[in-house]
Amino acid sequence: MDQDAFREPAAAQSISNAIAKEAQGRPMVFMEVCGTHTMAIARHGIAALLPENIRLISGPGCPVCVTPNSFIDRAVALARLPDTVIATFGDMMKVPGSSSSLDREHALGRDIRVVASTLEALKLARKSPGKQVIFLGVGFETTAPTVAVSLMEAQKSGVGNYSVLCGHKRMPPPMEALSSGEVRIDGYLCPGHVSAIIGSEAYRFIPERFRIGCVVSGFEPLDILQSILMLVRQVRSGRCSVEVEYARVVRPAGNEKALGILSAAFETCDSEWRGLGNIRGSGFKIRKTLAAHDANRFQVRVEPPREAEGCLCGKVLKGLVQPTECRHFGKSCTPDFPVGPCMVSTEGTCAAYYKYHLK
Amino acid sequence: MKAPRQWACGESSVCEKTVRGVRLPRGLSRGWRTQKDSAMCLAIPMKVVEIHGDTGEVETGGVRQEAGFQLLADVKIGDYVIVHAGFAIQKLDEAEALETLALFNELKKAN
Ligand code: SF4
Repeated sequence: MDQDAFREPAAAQSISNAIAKEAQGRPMVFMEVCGTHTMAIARHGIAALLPENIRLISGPGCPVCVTPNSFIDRAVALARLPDTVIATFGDMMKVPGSSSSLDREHALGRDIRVVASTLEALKLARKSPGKQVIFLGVGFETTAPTVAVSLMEAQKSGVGNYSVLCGHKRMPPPMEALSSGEVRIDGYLCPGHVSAIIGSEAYRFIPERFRIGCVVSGFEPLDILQSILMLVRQVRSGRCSVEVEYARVVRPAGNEKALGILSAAFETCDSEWRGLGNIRGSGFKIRKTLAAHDANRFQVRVEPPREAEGCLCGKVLKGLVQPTECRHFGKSCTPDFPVGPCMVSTEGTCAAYYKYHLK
Repeated sequence: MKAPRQWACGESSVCEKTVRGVRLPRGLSRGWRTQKDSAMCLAIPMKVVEIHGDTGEVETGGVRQEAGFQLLADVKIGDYVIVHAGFAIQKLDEAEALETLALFNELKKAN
């Protein structure tokens, strides 16, 4: 299939015209929940294709950004244990914790490895029998099943030195919290790949309870524009529902096999979000049956969490402020020397702003 | 070519330096840590080219990478799949893709 067909400029222009025409000057605020959308919107200059009355705000969908300091501090504490290897995806390395980061611990000689998948981490554990390999499980329902697979395999094949520090989160609960929050939202662009797992039905409560429309969007420029047009049409007609623009990948019930594996390994729990606080039922924790692979079994002293002074990440994640309103932005805070997590992750709103709006 | 590095958010990057590098003192050149811009890897469906039990290989644009198929029921060689963090998470439905494209075309004509 030709991926370029989803980027065709002429079609982008006509969808953009249709949006301007159908929105009829009425102010609308749409939140793109997912960090990959934030990045795609910035990269393709989507905002420039929208009329002035339509505003896009970024949501809490960058997994690294919403991970609270306490998680990073615990990972740092674990990294300092003897005979311990920390395995992580690359974007966690530079995230500043309260007083250190994994990057810094790595420079100090701790064994921290960047892996491409949980299977690689599991392989690492098999190859290092004298060591404890701890994988840092961060991410939403898209990543959590891949971690679930590794936990099940570790149990099945008896890899006793493999554990996971679980910081996984669920996407619908913060959307519920935001729907009745301080920012008025007229529609959600729902994350494409989280929805590939959980299915579009998972958002049904949003139009039903909050009368806010949802469109599950793909990641190409035409996908995003089309999804915005669909939201405009929902607002204009006064109806709201869950629609799927990304139907080539997202089914109403999601990926049932993945959901089965997910719930075999994890149960839901309350979870702490940067900026949003503790949200009921918004996290995953490892089930008791897999306790032997839960990194929480290691006793470590974790420092009390401390936030970077002046960092507005918490407000950025709620769509309350733009990164440019932060006094650190582009000055003391850049992707190379990040002060807050929103500047670290390639999907963070501050990083997207820095990369595409500053130059 | 080396398989893209995976990020928790699903972004991929082929640059080693961004993640392996240690923090430089302020004022030193920061150009050395440039990050390859390849986030679109995520959204590009990859073709299943090999299956060995639960795992196999997927390919796009000449780049092959390993993938786990544990999360998908009945994967076949030739299927297009979305790969996230080293695992195929969903199959691409070509009929739906064509329908979406047809919709774009209609809008273009209407304009
Ligand atoms: S610019 Fe930096 S300090 Fe300011 S909110 Fe963003 S990440 Fe935090």
